[in-house]
Amino acid sequence: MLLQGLFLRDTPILILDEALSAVDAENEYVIQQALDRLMKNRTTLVLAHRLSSIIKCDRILVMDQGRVVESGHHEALMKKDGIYSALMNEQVREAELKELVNGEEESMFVNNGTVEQIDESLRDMPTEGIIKAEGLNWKQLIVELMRHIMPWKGRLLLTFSFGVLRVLAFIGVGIFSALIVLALKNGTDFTIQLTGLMLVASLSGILHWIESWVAHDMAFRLLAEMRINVFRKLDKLAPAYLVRRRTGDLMGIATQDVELVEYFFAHTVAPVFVSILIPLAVITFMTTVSFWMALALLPFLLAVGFSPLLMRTKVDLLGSKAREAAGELSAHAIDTIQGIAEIVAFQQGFNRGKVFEELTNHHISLRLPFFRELTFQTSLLEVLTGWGGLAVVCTGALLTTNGSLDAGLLPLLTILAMSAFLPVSEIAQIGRQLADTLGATRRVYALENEPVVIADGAGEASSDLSSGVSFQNVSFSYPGRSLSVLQNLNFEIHAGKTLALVGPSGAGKTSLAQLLMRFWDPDKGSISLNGIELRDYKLDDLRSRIALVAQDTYLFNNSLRENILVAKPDATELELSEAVKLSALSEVVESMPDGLETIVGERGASLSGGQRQRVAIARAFLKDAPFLILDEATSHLDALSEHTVHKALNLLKTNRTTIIIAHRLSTIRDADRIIVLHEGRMVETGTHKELLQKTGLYRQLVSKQLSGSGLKDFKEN
Amino acid sequence: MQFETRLWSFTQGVRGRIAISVLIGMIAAALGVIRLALLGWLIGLIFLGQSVDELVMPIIFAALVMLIRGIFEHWRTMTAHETSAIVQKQLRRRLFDKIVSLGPGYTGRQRSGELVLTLVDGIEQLETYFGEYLPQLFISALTPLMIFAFVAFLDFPVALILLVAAFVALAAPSAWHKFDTKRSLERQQAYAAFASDFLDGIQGLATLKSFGQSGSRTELLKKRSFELFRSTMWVLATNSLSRGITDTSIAVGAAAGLGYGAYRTMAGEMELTTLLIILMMGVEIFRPLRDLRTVLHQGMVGLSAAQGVYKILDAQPVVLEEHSGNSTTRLEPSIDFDSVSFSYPEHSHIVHKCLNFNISKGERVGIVGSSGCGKSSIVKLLLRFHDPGQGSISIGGKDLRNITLDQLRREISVVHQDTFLFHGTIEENIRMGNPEASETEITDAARNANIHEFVTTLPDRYKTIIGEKGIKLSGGQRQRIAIARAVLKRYANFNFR
Repeated sequence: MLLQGLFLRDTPILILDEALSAVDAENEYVIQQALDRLMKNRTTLVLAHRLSSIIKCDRILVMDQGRVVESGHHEALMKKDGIYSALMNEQVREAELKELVNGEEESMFVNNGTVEQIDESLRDMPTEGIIKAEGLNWKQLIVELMRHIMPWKGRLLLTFSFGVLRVLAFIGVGIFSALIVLALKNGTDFTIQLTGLMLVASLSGILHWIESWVAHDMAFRLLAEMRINVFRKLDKLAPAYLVRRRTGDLMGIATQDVELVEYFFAHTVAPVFVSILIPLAVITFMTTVSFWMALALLPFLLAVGFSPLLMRTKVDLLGSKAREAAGELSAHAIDTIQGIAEIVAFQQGFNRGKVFEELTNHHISLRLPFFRELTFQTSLLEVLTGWGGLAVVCTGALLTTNGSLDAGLLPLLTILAMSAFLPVSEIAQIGRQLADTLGATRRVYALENEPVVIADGAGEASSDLSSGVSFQNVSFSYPGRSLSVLQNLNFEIHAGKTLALVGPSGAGKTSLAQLLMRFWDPDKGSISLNGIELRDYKLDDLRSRIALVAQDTYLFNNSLRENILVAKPDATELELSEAVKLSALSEVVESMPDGLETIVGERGASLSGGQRQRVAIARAFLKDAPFLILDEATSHLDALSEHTVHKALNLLKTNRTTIIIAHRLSTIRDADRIIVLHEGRMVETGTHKELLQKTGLYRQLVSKQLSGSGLKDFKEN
Repeated sequence: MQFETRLWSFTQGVRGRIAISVLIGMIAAALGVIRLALLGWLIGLIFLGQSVDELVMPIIFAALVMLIRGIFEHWRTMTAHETSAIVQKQLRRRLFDKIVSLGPGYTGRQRSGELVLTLVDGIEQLETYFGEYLPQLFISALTPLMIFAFVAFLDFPVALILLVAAFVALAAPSAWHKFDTKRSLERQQAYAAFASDFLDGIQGLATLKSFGQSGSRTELLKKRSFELFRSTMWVLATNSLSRGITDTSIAVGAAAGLGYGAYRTMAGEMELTTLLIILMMGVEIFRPLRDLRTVLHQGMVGLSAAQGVYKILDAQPVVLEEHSGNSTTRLEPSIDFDSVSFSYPEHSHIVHKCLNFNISKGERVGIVGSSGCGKSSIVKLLLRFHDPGQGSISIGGKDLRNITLDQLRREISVVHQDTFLFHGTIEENIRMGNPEASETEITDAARNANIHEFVTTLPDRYKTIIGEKGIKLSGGQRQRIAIARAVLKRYANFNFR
């Protein structure tokens, strides 16, 4: 009773939505058993197109066009000759092939204890994730950023000139006012001074407006360039580099970090010159009136001017750390939004929110001390400016008492003294703010300086498109990792032939395909296409010769049409509709509200896995390259679509060199040659028939897969 | 001036702080004027020929006022930053929770780049709006009166001139407030478009490269980036124009005040010392207005960021939570689809037409059909990511609409066809199934999913970081981690109660 009560508190409903379609035969068998245990006594709904997943169900519902059209047991449905038997026929036939390899369930390599290879770069590889704001010091920062500005010398000069004029006008208001008072005191006419005052006053606002416009126009143009450069650089580094990075962080760099560089471009370069020029002029003028006055003012001016250079370490560190924290915030947010379905289904919204809040708090905890430093600085400058003015008044008082200065000049000198602080304190203020810019620029340059590993070759264009491939002593391991993915691989595919790669997951099959695309380069040995080494091709040329249908299909948030046209933007309408037809996509297109113009949503969210895969295949048809790589290209398709696609692919394969990576028998059986990979080595090779006659790994894989289908157990029951 | 009642409603809990900011700001502004007036007064005393000895006390006094003004200014700014931090925390969490509660039915139709930009950058912009812009707005609104009160004490006609100038400086920019808001909104959209296309571009970069199409994406981003530049310049154009008007009216106002004062002094209607004070105060008397002008930009960016925030807050969840359901009683695990018709929002294509089936307790039912026939939509309906257009779905005889979302999702474990793995360790990803799980339970779940052996070969075992979306694992490995996650969820409620 107690036990039963406890049991009922389990999650009572289980849904498996194509849970095993991406799992290879060997694992499928084991996981199916685990799932069988899990399903026991639990209400279970299995959505699948694979026989092995549904054969043991109590009842099978067959859907067509949004309703249930058939229902019953496997055998009853098979007899009916309806949709179900059409969908499952092929797989049942395959399962019956089991007779061929009967009696070899126990294996020597393939068992639960098989040590898999790590698929991608995990060992010894620094997982950096967020790009660090480190490296670049101030001098380098200025050199780097100035390099960007140099093409804009003219505009920079303009900004500088208007900056000087603007400050002069501002000071002019004070000077003319002081002159009026002087005239009053001396009892002379002040009409000229008053006219000057009104003129300068009206000008000051306009000059500020123009300066700000010119400076920002240059700055934001430069930012636009920088944003594009971030993408260009990523384009060169991808996809190897992206494995180590978080896309939210990268987006943060292209948006927020670049935005922060605006401080330097618009508010620093020209104002620095203004802030040197104006105080110099003021000090010079003061010296001509009274040496002592200048001397009284100088210490305050120097203190204000040099203050941004002092106590830098802490602010710079805070600024840089804050940029990293902001990057992490973006990365976490992207991950959450794109994985929302999982979060909601597992009720992790609260926990995810807590982590997000902690990241926000961390960011704030870096910002508040930063602002405290900044504000302290600003207030100090204010006080020093006031005291500077006061010092001039005091000195003036002393000088007038001993008669060496006309008191009437005092207001003018005080106003001049205080206005010398204006550009200096502006720049001092910016100087602190620049800690943010430093942090941001460090991140932009960390990316910019990432070495490009895969570069264009000399580009010996070979007009021969027959595309034979050869691997000679190829060894490969992911950068920074000791374990090798491929070891001493030797094989050749003749032009026009089909090669199938099989092996347990993690055996290096996908890595091999990526080496051909030159997403990576091998450590040792050489790979050549048409007798020319891959490294000698121009990257665009090489990739234009290969059509890759990868395991995961990425769809852009565009229309279905644009997503297919990625393969060939200038394709004709005829070519497009042909590709759609061949990839069994016509039905999908018809079911879409706007047909080919339907927007597929973020990452193709509005399409199912099978539909996305068909888009990938349509792309391959459209690309029409002489060399074809199919990496589990049809694993998400139901039998009927798969059949259609296979027929089309067979057509496509003629006259084309093809590599098929698959774990499903139906896909590899007809290959001219099969290579069995295990732990990065080629352990067997031959045709399907030849390999079945050996007692090697292939035979075991096939045996596993067939018994995994469950048909045998089913029949025995 | 830009003041939005809707944004004001976000200030709940910090209104007291904003009031304090305004108070401190007013005192700081007054001190700022007084310290300069003191300088003018000092010069006046020198004009009158007072000796240096007699000036010592006034000089020390002036120096002290300057120091206190500095302290107040520091205090004001820090209060502003702290207020901002509080608002930022509250608002960001609120927005985050809202996005989660909107769920996949909503986010699937949005662009993630845009959502993240609002969540991170947008909130940061609003932070300045609340911390600096809003207090400054109140201070500025009170400034003309303060100026008038202070200067009227010195000389009434000059005070009138300054009052007029202050009003013009304050009111002029609001003339194109509407225009400003429109431009800000355009900029926000341009920024979001760039961010979204950039993110989409890098996430699909491998695909683009395989087809040699990264060049055309670069062109698109170039266009987006230029649009962002152009819309930014438009915002700046209107923005700096209103700045120009404020600046000019301040400068002209100060000049006119002084000029008129000069005539009055000449006519003997005003003391020269008073004129000196007005001279030294100069434009400083308008300081709060100039300060407002500098945060005006942030106010504007904040307003445009607010548009993004509203968009999320106003979004209607695709499904409505029903609170009446009693979440403690267990449901019988039977499923019933009764004449269910369904199509996705904004899509005319009908996914389910009068779908009928039921699954009794403990039964195992398979559903097959060609892809796109509506299999996966069944899962989405069961988890209530969407509601059916017609008909009803029930578990244990109870309509899903009468069960709380929390309870519903506690009853069901799902292994999806596209599993989403999060950036983090393998353990964290499996643990999503049950945050309270012990280490043994996690390894048990992993064994069940046939992934344990693999994990033990990794250098950091369960602590290995798997990269974004599990990019460092193969498709099969990812799927097995997802299965382990679902297996673990089986234990979840067992442990909880």
